[in-house]
Parts: sequence; structure tokens; C-alpha cells
Amino acid sequence: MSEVIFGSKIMQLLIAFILVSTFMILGSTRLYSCVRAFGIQSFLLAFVAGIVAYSTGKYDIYIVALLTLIIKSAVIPYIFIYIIREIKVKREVELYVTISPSIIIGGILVVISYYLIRSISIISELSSLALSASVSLVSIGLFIMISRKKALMQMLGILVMENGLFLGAISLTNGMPLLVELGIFFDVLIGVLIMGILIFRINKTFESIDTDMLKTLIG
Amino acid sequence: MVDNYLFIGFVAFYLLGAVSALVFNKKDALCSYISFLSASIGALAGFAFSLSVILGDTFHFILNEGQIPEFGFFIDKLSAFFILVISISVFAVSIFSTGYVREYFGKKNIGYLCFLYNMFILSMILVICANNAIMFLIVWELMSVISFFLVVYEHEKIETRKAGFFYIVMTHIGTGFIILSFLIFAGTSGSFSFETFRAAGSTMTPFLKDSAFLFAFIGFGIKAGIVPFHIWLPYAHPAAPGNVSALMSGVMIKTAIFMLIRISFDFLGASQAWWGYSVLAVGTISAILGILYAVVEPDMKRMLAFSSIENIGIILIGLGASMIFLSNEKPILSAIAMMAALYHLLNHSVFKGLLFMGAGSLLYSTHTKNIEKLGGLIKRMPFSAILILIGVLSISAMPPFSGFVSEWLTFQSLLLTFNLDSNFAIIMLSISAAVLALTGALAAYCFLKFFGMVFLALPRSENAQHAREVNIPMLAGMGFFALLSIMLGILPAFILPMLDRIAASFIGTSGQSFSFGTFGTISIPSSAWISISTPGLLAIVLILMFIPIIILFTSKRNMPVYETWGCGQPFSTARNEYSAIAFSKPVQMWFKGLYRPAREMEVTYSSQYLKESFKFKSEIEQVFEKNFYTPVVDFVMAMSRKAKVIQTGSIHAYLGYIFGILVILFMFIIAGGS
Amino acid sequence: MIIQLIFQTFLIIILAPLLSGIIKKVKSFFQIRKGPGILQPYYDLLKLVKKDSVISNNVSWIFHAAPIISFAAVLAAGLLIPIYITQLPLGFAGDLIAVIYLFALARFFTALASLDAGSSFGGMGGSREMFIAALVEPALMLSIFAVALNVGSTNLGFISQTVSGMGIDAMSPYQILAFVALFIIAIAETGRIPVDNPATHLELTMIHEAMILEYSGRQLAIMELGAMIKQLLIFSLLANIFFPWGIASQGAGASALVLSFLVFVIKILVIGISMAVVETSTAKWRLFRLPELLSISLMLSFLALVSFIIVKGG
Repeated sequence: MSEVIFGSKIMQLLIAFILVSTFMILGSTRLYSCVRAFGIQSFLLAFVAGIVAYSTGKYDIYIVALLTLIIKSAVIPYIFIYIIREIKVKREVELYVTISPSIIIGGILVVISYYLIRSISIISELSSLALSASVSLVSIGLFIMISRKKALMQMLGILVMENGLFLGAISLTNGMPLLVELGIFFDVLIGVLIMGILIFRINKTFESIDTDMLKTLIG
Repeated sequence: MVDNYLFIGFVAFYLLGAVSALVFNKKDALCSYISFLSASIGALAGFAFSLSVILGDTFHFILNEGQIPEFGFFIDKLSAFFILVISISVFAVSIFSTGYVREYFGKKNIGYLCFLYNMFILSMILVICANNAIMFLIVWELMSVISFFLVVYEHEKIETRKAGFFYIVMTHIGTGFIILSFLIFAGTSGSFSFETFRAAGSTMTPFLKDSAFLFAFIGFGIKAGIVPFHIWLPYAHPAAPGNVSALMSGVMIKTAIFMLIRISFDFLGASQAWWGYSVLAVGTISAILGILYAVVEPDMKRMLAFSSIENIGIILIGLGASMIFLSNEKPILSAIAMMAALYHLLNHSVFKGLLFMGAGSLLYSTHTKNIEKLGGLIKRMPFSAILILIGVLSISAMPPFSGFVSEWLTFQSLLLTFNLDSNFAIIMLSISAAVLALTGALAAYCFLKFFGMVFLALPRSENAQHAREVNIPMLAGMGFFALLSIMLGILPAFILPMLDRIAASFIGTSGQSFSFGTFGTISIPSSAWISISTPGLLAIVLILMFIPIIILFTSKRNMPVYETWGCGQPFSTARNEYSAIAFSKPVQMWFKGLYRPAREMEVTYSSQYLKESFKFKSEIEQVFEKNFYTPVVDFVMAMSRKAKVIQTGSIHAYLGYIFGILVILFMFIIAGGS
Repeated sequence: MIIQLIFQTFLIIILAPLLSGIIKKVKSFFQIRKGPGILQPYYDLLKLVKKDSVISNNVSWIFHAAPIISFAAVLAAGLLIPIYITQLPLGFAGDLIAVIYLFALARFFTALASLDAGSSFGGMGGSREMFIAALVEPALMLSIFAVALNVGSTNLGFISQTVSGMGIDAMSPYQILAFVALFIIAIAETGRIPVDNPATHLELTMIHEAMILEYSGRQLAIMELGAMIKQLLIFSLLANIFFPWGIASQGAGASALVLSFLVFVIKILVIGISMAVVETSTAKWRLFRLPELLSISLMLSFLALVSFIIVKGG
């Protein structure tokens, strides 16, 4: 078995696990488990980047992998947990769409993404798998933002979407230029910080981070 | 030649049974013995006849040779199989009936019941044998009308009359669709003979084929009780006397399956994939909805009726898979799926017959159909308990009983989708398998509840307290089916080759990849598939396991008897027991979107703290009845009220209508002539 | 052949309490307790065997027959599942579906017996057990489909043989998804947290324990042993369907058999320990939240099937 095939095998497995972790986010009702699942997802993503770096031999991708590992699977989850502790929010994910339908919708989104990718592209089996996983991550992330009440979950949804884009980019083009990647990481980190501050403000104003409360702001 | 005699013989015995019932009308006991005896002899002759056709040649018998229309009987292997199923059921049910009708002695007209019973069987046989659309429709109507009279046999009860009305209306709507389907065939073939239909099937345009199939599917589907046309079934089957509901649920609804196979495979060649998908989808939905309603049903006969819907669904899943395979040009796989469907059909007629007879026995000795009012009967009716337990285990597909084999075959035939190239087929058949698995688990849930609530623990009412074991003919009838359930479970290797011949006769290929080894192993080595199972051996292993355990663990030892644990409180009455509604509550909570349960609680207090009485009423909603049928019925009623305007009551007006119609007809002829 | 049958039967009977003991030990390690020794389940069983059975005055023969039938069904399933060798002497008697239905038979009789004494706890336990079984079933069937379609058979010996022959190639997204789905199902089937709490003795929260509440003495001993064996068998199913590497095939030599046996023990331990980790890190869920857990499992097994089609290149 050649190294390339071995690498792609591992990639496939990692992508499967990434999907599983996405469903963990969709399926859990505790904020902590959502954050934990997101951490796992990013951790797996870092591995994907590592394998891509190894198989292409590009050193800048190693840096990207390392950054993913540090920022997305450690720093951002830490910020989340910090926010949850600080604002003493109730630890339940409040939902518009309950868990079981959410999961079913998630599954349907994955299948749709696969057929979407299959219908628009003529690429290899592996990239088609990675690309459809990436599209499903983006759409599930969006779905999380729509269906969860807490502002924290909107943040998490955005991050899942970002992870999806990252997965697509890294597996399709073997990574964007390092500078662009760095920019994105910086953006994400700053975004998380700003959103965190925003959540503090929302919490302070409404004594809740339920985004339903924002409805009261309309004139 | 022997076939001729056998055929005439078994028809004659049913006729004899019917006539003697009328002759000995005055003497209840004599009448029932003669009539049911001749029915069971007829069943034996029918059994021999059908076996000789299955193993030999097609039987063709023409009544009025050379005349038009030609009426005759045509019995190929497929029809013979259904005659076999009918005969087996009739044999057991007739024996059962000799005991069961004692309940009606002196109260009701026994001769009438026996006459209808024999005629009902005869009409079902004729439906299977008919070789001409006109003759078919006549006997089909005959079957419907006789079964209607049987349903309303206990017509003094208002709900029975309502059930009968429901049934007769639905079944006529079905007949309407069947006539449409036949007209499409006849339009192409120019004749009403089924032989010309068969020839026409290949020359029809796709549109005509599609519509012929669709009309037949709806028409026969109503009779078979598929969702959403099932609503008459849970009313009609429980209303009929126990022995008749055993036949209706066990056999009559199968005649619709027979015609569905006849039309879609024999006449139309199952050429379109979407037919298969729609049959599969409808089957899957029927299976799951049927069992979901059965789980929460407290009336045991209604529960069994809902479970019939479920089992028809399972049969349709097999049929649908078979059609999908055939339209994808995989006749071998199609034959395997067909065998699964036919096997389940045979099994269902046996265990459902057994359970309906069991419900009849319970009704006979306790006079209640409500599960909540029974309990503890295993000590009062020990033999019935064992026989019904066998039925329960079979319908729950427990190895090594019969249901297991047919569900195993159905799963295997769904797994064979692996050989198809279509992704859609793989996804559809897998979803169907998942739903089938859920259905199986819920069926076990439902029948566990049934058996546990009816037979175990303490009696919950006076009726159950004073229940006594039923008489010997009833036990014999049930015992025959119980034995058959076990045999069908452990000896499939003897039955499947027969089903293979039957499937091969109209699919064209036998399921060659289906083989039998020593110990009666069933194996399915398809091109890329090997799955084997030996139910018989499984049974032997299971029983061998018993012996050391019994020796090791149940040696006679001191077993002190004490009260059931009640958290330190004395446990004494049946009021402390878990009830049937509580038992099925988790499912009700899980599917509350479907059931939409409505509950009422009424509490009266004797003092501020002490509750004097507590009344709890819980009802679930029949989605289809409420959202589909009620609006339709309301609409029809509104339209009829509107149409009442023309009913003036004046004779002149009526004559005027006739005159008007006449003029219109003249115009029509003139227009056609020019 | 007979010898092999007897050996396998005794092997699963002897190993099952050990596995239980080890899981308990691992759990108490995570809970910073000392915990009972890993041989404790044996002592418990022995003690139960020595004791008299106290029988409720309401029960019928079902109550006495149920332990025997349940135990026999579980043991019979044990002869169809590859433990350390793929070539099962009775492999042709039944396949994966038969195994599931044998477990269902065992469950059916246990639940029947739970109703026999007329106690509300028994009814509650039986009702919940059947409910969970119904919840599990569709996901179970879909994951079986994903596995079976990959291999081309539902016969367990054949599945193990083929998958172990594929080597690392066998690891593909659908295997992973199906494995996670089946792992969740295994939690439910073995009655562990978050589905059921094996250690509880509060009547209202327990499921399996509530069903066998009326049993005592020898009858309780075989009920308990049956549950332990079922747990061992489900773990072996997980191990030998998804990671059958190292399992001996037909005609393997003595050294290969010993090696295969050691590998099997390690695999079972790994699964048992991860089960204990899951158990300590979660809380028990409310009964009516379980459909959520099992819908995750259902969706994963469905995705396993879809990704099977993707990888197959449909």
C-alpha cells in the first residue's frame, strides 16, 4: 500500500469522525458538550491539515495545522468556557428545533451536500468526499445558527461554518497561501473575542443571552 | 382427472355445508356439527387439490364451452397456493367453530351463521379461481356482501351496525376502482377473459399500464387494508364473530394480495420501477402505522386488526422489493423477494388466525374484549395460554417460530438490493428495512403487552376471575395452528421449494441462488452475497441449551412463597398492577405527534385530602379518519344535500327527468351517427 | 466440533463475569474509589446460587421458565458470534439477524416474567426495556446494512473473515460511522448510563434491575449471568465486526489460536474501558430524552449507508 493511498485512507476516516463530531454538536443539549465537540472537530481538522502537509510536503501547511490545533481546538473553546462561566448562563442549549428533528435535518443536509457536489464537479473520490463534508459542515453550521436561541450557539455555528470552509479549502487546493490563512485565523480569533464581548453586553442589557430578546429592540 | 374430482369435491362439500345449515336450521348443535364438519372435509379436499396443482399442472375447467362470455375456472400455481392458504385456515377455523358457536346456541340463528360461513369460504375460493372479469366481479361482490352479513351478525349492537356500514361502503369504493382497472384492460383486449388480459398486458401503452396498475392497487388495496385505506378494517374485523374474524383477517384480505400479484406480475409483467417503489412505500407506511396503532389499542380484537394492517404492510414490502428487482431485470432476486412475501402471507394467515381464535376464546370465557379488564388467565385457561403464547411468539418473529423465518427472508431480500446499480433503490430498500426493524420491535412490544396483561399476574375484573378453560374443539382448532406455526418456523426447507415453484411459475425464473443444505439450511448465495440460516438447527441448539440449565439450576429446592414486593406495603390487589395503557405509554409519548392523545381526569374528594374516586380517560386520535375521511364524508353529505333539490316529490317532475334524459340520449346518438 | 462448541460456551460463561468486574473496577478508578475486586461478580453469583429462591405467590410457570429460556437464547447467540476464531462450528445455523432476534427472544421472556408477579415495578421495567429495544432497532438494522453490504453477507464468521482479510482497507468512513452508531446501540443494549444505570437500586429509575426485581437465589443468578454474557457478546460483536484483525481463521495452529485469544481479550478490554469512561463522564438521561440519543445513532448509521454508496462510487 503506497503512502498516498494510506494518507487518503486516514483522511477519509478523519472526515468521517469530523461528521460524527458535527452531529455531536447537533445532538447535545449542554453548552459544554457542544464546545467540547467543537474542540474535537477542530482537533481532527488540524490532523487533516497535518496529513495534507505531509503528503504535499509544504511546510507552511504544517504551520496552519499547528495554528488550528492551538487556536481552534484550545483557545477558542477556552474562551467559550470562560464566557459560560463568567456570565453564569444556564448550561442548556435552548432550541427552536428539538434534537431529533435537528439530527434528521442534519442528515438530510449531508446527503444533499453530497449530491450537490457530485452534480457540479468531476473530481477525485477523496476530494468529492472532503468537499461534500465541507459543504455539509457549512450548511449544518448555518442550521445551528438558525435553530438555537443562545447567542453563544450562533457563535459556535459560525465557527462550524468556518471549519467547513477550512476543510474544503485545505483538501481541494492543498491550502491557501499562508498569509491568507494567517489572516483568516486572526479574523476568527478577533471575531470570537468581539462576539464574546458582545455576548457580555447582551447579557448585561437583557440579563439573558437569548437572542429572542433582541426582538424587543425594534422600534 | 383426480384434480377434477377433488375440485368438484371440495366445492361440493362447502355447498353441502351451506345447504345442510339451512336444512337443520332448527337444531343448533346438529346444524353446527354437520355444517362445520363438511367445511373441514372440503378444506382437506381443497388442500389435496391445491398441492396437486402446485406439484403438477395448471387446472383449467370451463363451465360453458364455446359460449360467450365463457365462464370457467383457471387455477395455476399461484391460485393453488392461495387455495392452500384458505384451506389450511378453513380447516382449523372450522374445528374451532364447532366449539365457538356454542356461545350462540339458543340466542342467535346458528343455521344462518353456518350458511353464511360456508358460502363465504366458497366465494373466496371462487374469487381465486375466476378466469373472467365479469365472473370475478360477481364473486368478488358476493364475497363482500356475505362478509358484510357476517360482520353484522351481532347486529343488535349499534357499533356492529356502524362497522358493517363502514365496511360495505369502503369495499364498494374499492370495487369501483377494480372495475376501472378491468375496463382499461378490456378496452385493449376487447374481451373480459383473463387470458386476453394477459395478452393485452404486453401491448398496452405505458400510460394505460400505469393507470391499470394504479386503479388495481387502490381497489385491491382498500380490501387488503393498506394505509390510508385501512380505516374500515379495525371496525369490521373485531365486530364479526371470532371465527369469522379469523378468516377475514387471516384469509380474506389475502385475496386482494392475490389479485394484486395477478395483475401486476401476471398481466402487466411488473415492468415499471415506480410501481415497485410505490408498493414498497405503501407497505412500509402500512407496517409502521398499523403496529403503532396496535400498540396503544386496549380492545384486543381491534389490536389484532391493526396488526393485520401491519402484516399486510410486511407482505407488500416483499412484493414491492420483488417488483423493483423484476423491473431492474433481476428475476432471480425478484423470485427470492416473492418467496419472502408469500411465506409471510402463509405465516400470517396461520398466526393471525390463531390469535383471532385466541381472542375469540378469551371473549367466549370472559365476555370482554378489553385487555385492561383481564389478567391472571394463565392459571384459569392454561392450555389456551400456551397456544396463544405460541401465536404471540410467532407474530413477534421470535426464533424458532414462524414469523422469524419470513422476516429473515424479507430482510435478506431487502439486503439483496446490493446487486442493483441504482442508489435510489439501495436507499429506499434500506430505509424500508429500518422501518421494518422498528415494526418488528414494536410488534414484540405490542404482543408482549397483550399476553402479559391478559394472562399474567392477577385478574383485573370479575369476568377474568371466573374465566374457565374453553372447550376441546376450540383448543383443537388453535392447537392445529400452533403446531403449524412451529413447523413453519423450523422446517422452512420443506416449504420454500414449493414457494419457489410458485414464484417461478409467473416470474419466469426460480430463485436458483436459493439453496437448501443438510439440516434444512437456507442459503442465499447470490453473485456477491452469501447468507445462511438454519432455523431448525437453531431450535435444536436452543432446546439442547435448556437441558443443562434445567439440571443445574432448577433442582428441587426449598422455594418459600411470599408476597410480591410492594415497597414494604402489603401487595394484595390487582389495582396495584401495571396497566396496559401504562405499559404502552412510552410509545405513546414518543409518537405523541401521531396519536395526539386527549385525556380527561375526573377526581372527586371525600374530604380535603382523601380522594374518593379517580377517573382517567385517555383517547388517541385516528389521524386518517379525522383529517382525510371526515372532510370527504362531510363534502359528500353536503353535495347530497344540494342534490336533494331535484328530489321534488312530484311525479311529474320525475317523469320530466326521464324525458330529459331520453332527449339527451337521442342527441347523443344523432351526434354519434353523423 | 462438539469440543469447540463446548469450549466456546464455557469460555463465554467464564469470561463474562470477569468483564463485568473489570468495568466496575475501571469505573471506581475514575470515581476515585477503591471499588470491589475484579472477581467480585463471581463471588456474587456463587452466593446467589447457594441461596434459596423466594417466589411471589402470584406467579405462573412463565416466571420459572423465563430465566431458562432467556439464558439459553443468549448462550445460543454466543455460538453464532465469532470470539477468537472466524470459523464457527454452528456458523450456518444463524446470522447476525438471527443473533439480534435471539437477544430479542431473551428480552421478551425477561419482560414477560417481569409482568408475572403483578408488581408495578416489573411492569415499568418491562415496558421501558421493550421501549428502548424498539428505539434501538432501526439504527441497528441500518448499521447492519452498512456492514453487510460492504462484506456481502450477514453471517458473522464470514464478515470477520472478510474484514480481517481486507486489512487497513476495511477502515473506511462508513465503517467508522457504523461503528459509532453501533457503539451507542451497545450502550443501550447493555443497559449502561446514560440509558440505564446498572448500579442503581432505586426502583423508579432502573430498567433491567426492575424487571428482575422479583427474582432471587439461583434464578437471579442465571438472570444476572445472562445479562453479563449478553454484554460480553455485544462487545465481541463490536470487536469482531469492525476490528477483527488478529482473529484466527480456519485451520489455524495452536499458537495462532492463543495469539488470537489474547488479541480478543485486549479488544474486549479496550471496549469495556471506553464504555466505563463514557459511563463516568455522562449522567443518566431521562427516559423520554432517549429518542434523541438514539436518533443520533440512527442518523449516523444512515450516513454510514450513504457514505457506503459514495465510496462505492455511485
